Order: sequence, then structure tokens, then C-alpha cells
Amino acid sequence: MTMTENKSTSSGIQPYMPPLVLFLWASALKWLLIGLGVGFLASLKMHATALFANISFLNYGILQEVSETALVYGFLLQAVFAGCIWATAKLGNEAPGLGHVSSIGVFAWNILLTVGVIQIFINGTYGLKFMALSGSVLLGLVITSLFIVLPWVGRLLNSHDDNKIAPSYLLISLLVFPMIALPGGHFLHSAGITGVIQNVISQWYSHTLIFTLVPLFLMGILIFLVEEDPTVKGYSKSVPTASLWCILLGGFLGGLYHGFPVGGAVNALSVASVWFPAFGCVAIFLVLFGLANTNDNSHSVLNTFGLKWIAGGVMLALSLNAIASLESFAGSFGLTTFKPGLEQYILFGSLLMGAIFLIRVGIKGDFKPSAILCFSIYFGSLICLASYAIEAIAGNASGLRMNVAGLLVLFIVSVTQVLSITVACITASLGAIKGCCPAPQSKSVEKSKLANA
Amino acid sequence: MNHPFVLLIGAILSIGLSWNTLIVNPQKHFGQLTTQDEIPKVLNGQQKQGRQVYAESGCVKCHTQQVRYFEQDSKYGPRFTVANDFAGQDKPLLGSHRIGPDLSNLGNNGKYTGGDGRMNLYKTLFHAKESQVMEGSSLASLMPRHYFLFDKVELSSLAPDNEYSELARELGETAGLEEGHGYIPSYRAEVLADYLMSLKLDQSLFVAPIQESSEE
Repeated sequence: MTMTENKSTSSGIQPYMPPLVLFLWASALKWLLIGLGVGFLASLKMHATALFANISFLNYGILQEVSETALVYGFLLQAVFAGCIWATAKLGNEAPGLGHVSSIGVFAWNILLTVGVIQIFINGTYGLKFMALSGSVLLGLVITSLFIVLPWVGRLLNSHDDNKIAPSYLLISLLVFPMIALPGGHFLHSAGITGVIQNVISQWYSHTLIFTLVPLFLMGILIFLVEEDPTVKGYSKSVPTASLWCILLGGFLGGLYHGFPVGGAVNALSVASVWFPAFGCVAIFLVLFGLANTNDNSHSVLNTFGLKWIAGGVMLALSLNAIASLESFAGSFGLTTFKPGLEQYILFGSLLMGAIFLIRVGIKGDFKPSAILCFSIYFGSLICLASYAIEAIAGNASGLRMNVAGLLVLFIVSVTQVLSITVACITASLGAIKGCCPAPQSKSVEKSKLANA
Repeated sequence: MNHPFVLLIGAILSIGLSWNTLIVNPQKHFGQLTTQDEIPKVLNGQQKQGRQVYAESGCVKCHTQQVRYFEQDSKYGPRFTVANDFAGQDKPLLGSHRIGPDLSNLGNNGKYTGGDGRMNLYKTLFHAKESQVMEGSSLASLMPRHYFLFDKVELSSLAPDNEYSELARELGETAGLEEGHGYIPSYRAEVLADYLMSLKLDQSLFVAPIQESSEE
């Protein structure tokens, strides 16, 4: 009996972790810590206004931009790649090893990102959201992302399992970044476009990354877990399919907001489109929660804190984003730190940390992160959400500026987030090391088992 | 996976549709604006250099340059901003959220106009917390200090009629320098001030007329 068989669980998910995924996770966690550390340093400057006041490249704006860039390109995208590759490899039940082409891509990605961050320190930022990297670095990231994802896209395209919808989500999640970054970078840096349209490009790009790619990825992982669970009965793939198309058709149109200088029908359409992903998520989560709450112990993976955490977080983030986009709220919430807070803490801090725990399923075959760990992240994120709501209200009352009380809360939030996420990273990393990367079963072994059965 | 190529084509079409709606069509309209049209801002050389300093200093992460049509924004300018305000600019500094006040109309702010206006601006850049950023606010500013935009000097080296003599002494005291030392604005601070003082929403446009109630 192999180790893999020993660890087989009632969930049907067997331990499996390709080295390439560990490589991606390690890189992602490194950038997460860098991003949070630099962001924390930036927040300190709000309290100690003379801190590093003599050093030009350590001003608040640059530090904040570096922090966002590290979180988006270093953590978020590498985490998405890792999650998708893990699920794809598991679907194919193959042993991809290190995946040399993809590994070269990951290595080059991290080198390029380091260069890009240094460039931000030198050149500053024009405030184009998530597009502070130079054109050449962005192009380089697109090319390296193709190295990372194309081998796995090929596997997904060649899979002939018509009964699963998860591969569709994974396929789109793998391809969203190159599909939007290539035209986005081209039009922004080399197509001669000037004026407010450049801001439209960055708004569209950042919105797509956060409110389309991340939900697609997380929903893909959730559906993957459902479909991998042999005990799930009566699961219809029509709802996930409809949700996927709902997000695809509407999710790419968002980004602008009421009062954006473009105005007119374009603005109205873009604002309205943020409801598409929200509706898409609601539909699919009704199915998932229905499955998770059947009181049937066989759905052990589905009926866990981590899954509910992720599912609830996605719904909450997308719903709040949609509600805040309404014209009656836009005057108060627009341009405050509400939306950046929503993006940074719910999607980065909480949901992708939840994805790390899902990866633990692959490593240890269970889904039981410690209660203290869950509580620290849950508590930290709730404080964040509350503080940003307070900030939005108080900021509105004081002319859309943060006030001293809001700052105190934000300071506590920063400390809580950094501590909780650092603890989570360490725990997840330790879990990964303990997992010992058990070898996956080959298809031939599977077939022989089936034959014996 | 059912029909993967249908899915891929659908995704590409969806992105193409969004590009056409959000980028291509607006670009056809706003990208063709020329100097014959209503374009309020044309920066001179120093102001362009100041704009570069503004970017290098990361100001855009806290300050917006967009006045929306909401009541909350009416205090920032006599009219809302439109695409014409940024026509021809490379990477407009709109900003995406406000930690500090909007700067679209800073050049018309009473504190920064008149004889002491420029000196007040330097004081704000140096120690905004003490000087208060905008009038009418009871809150202390959170703006980090920008010592790197100033040069440390010995006060005795400044000529008696130097325009920065008084400012240098005051800034030196604020920074806690030893007796006889102070700070004067560097060239970067001067061009940044040029740029900031050029930010005005004082041209009434057909698409965004100045509101009379705000003018009062």
C-alpha cells in the first residue's frame, strides 16, 4: 500500500503536490510578505510623518505602489497559477515533475518583477492602477506567463472529460492575464493613446484582475472539489456553466465608476456590468452551500470552515462592490479607501489564504487548519472590513479624508493583518514541507486498480 | 470539458467587446481632441518637470485630480472634470482614491494664491501636519513630510534679501535643526510648486460649465 493510499480520505481528494506548484507557492508567499511589509511601512508614514522624510524613494506613494505591485503580480497571479496548475495536474492524474518550461517561466517572472519594482522606486508612479510596471517589464511578464500556463492549457484542451465544468474555469483563469495584459500594455505604452483613455485602460485592467479573474479562479477550485468528491449526488453542471458565461460576458466590461471623466453610456454600461459576476456567484454558491449543508458527513471537504470562508468571502466582496457602485452610494464610497480595502484584504488577504488551505488538501489529504489560525484570519479580516466602512463614513463626513480615529483603527488593522497572514503563511509552508510531495499515481496504476476491482 | 474552443472564442469575443466599448469607441471621440477644441491645460516646461516630480513623489496615490458631479465633490472645484481636461496628456494623474484632498483646483485655493501663496505651499510640502492642507478643515493633515524636496543650508550663507531666508529659518526650527541651519526649496520643489499652482478649474467648458453657485 502506498503512502498516497494511506492518506486517502472520505473526501475523495488524495494527497498530491507537484514540485512546480510548491515553487510557485514559495514565490507567491515571498512576494506576499514583501508586499505586506512594504505596505505596513507605508502605513507607518501616516503616523510618523517624518519617517524616512529625507529619502525620496521611500515616500508614501511609492511604497504603496510597490506594495500593490508585489501583491498583484507577486502574490495574486502566482497563487492563481499555482492553484490552477495543481487542479489541472490532479484532473489529469499525471506526474508533471518540476515542469521545466513552466519553472523557467516562474524563475523569469520573479526576476522581471524584481526589475519592475526597482523601476517603480526610481521612476515613481502615475497612479495607473496595477499598471505601474514599465511597458517592457509588462511585456516580459506576459511572455513568461505563457511559458508558465501554456503547457497546462494544452493539457486542459486535450482532456476529454465532458462531465466536468471545472476545467473550463481553470482554462479561462490561466489565460486571463496574458489575454488582458498584452493588449492593455500595448495600448497604454506603445499605441499612442493619451488622455483619460489611459486611465480607462488601467481601471478596466485592474477591475478584471480582481473582480473577474479571482472569482473565476476560486470558483474553479470550489467546483473542482465538488466534482472530485465521488459522494456528491445530484450535482448539475448547468448552473456553474451559466455562472461562467455570466462572468465572462459581464465581468470584462467593468472598471469605470460614476463620475469618471468619460461619462455617458460607456460609463453607465461599465458600472452596471459589475452585477454580472455578483449574480453569477450567487447562483453557483446556492448550489455549493446546498451541497455543503446536506448534513451528510460524506461531504467532508465541502462542509468545512475553509470552503465556507472562501465562498462567503467571494460573495461578500462581489456584492459589496456591486452595491457600492450604485449611484446613491458612489458619492460616499467612491474614491475612498473602501474599494482598495475590499480588494486588498478580502481578495488578497483572506480568500487567497483560503486557497492555500485548499492546497493543503492536496498535501495532507485533510482540511483542518488550526482553529487559532482560522480565527486570527477571520477576526483580522472582519476588523478590516469594519474599519474601512468606518473610514468611508467618517471620511465622507470630513471631506473624504481619513481622520485620526480612522487611522488608529487602520493601524491596528495593519498589525493584525500582517500578523495573521504571516502566521498563516508559516503554517501553510510547514504543512507543505510535512507533506513530503508524495508522488501521484500514474494512470496505469489507476487502471490496474480498476481492473482488480 | 465540453467545447473548449467555443469557450475560448467566447472569452476572446467578450474581451474584444469590452475593448470596443470602453477603449476604442471613446478613443475615437476623445483621442481626436486638438488644440482647436476646448482644452484648458497646456503646461509649460517647468510645469511639465513639476508634473514629473509629482509622479516621482507618489503624490497621486493620495491626491486625486478629478471632481465628480456629486455634492461631496463640489467644494473641490467650480465645475466637474471631463475628458477635455486631460486631452493630450500622457498618463493623466487622475488618481484612484483620496486620502488627501483633490488638487484639481489647488491653484485657485486662497491659501496658495497671493504674495504668501508659494511659501505656504512649500510649508505644506515640508510639514503639512502643522500647516493644515486645506482651509476650512479642523483635522490635522496626515501628509508625510517631504524633506527630500528641500536642501539643508546654513542660514548665514543666505543673502539678507534672499526670498527664502525667513522660510529657511522656520523650516529649520520645525525639523529640529541646530541653531543657524535651515531648509530651502530645491529646484524639484520649485517646479513642483509651479505645477501645483497651475492646477485650475477656471475655464468654463460647453460640456462642463462653471456653476454660478460655486463661484459665489
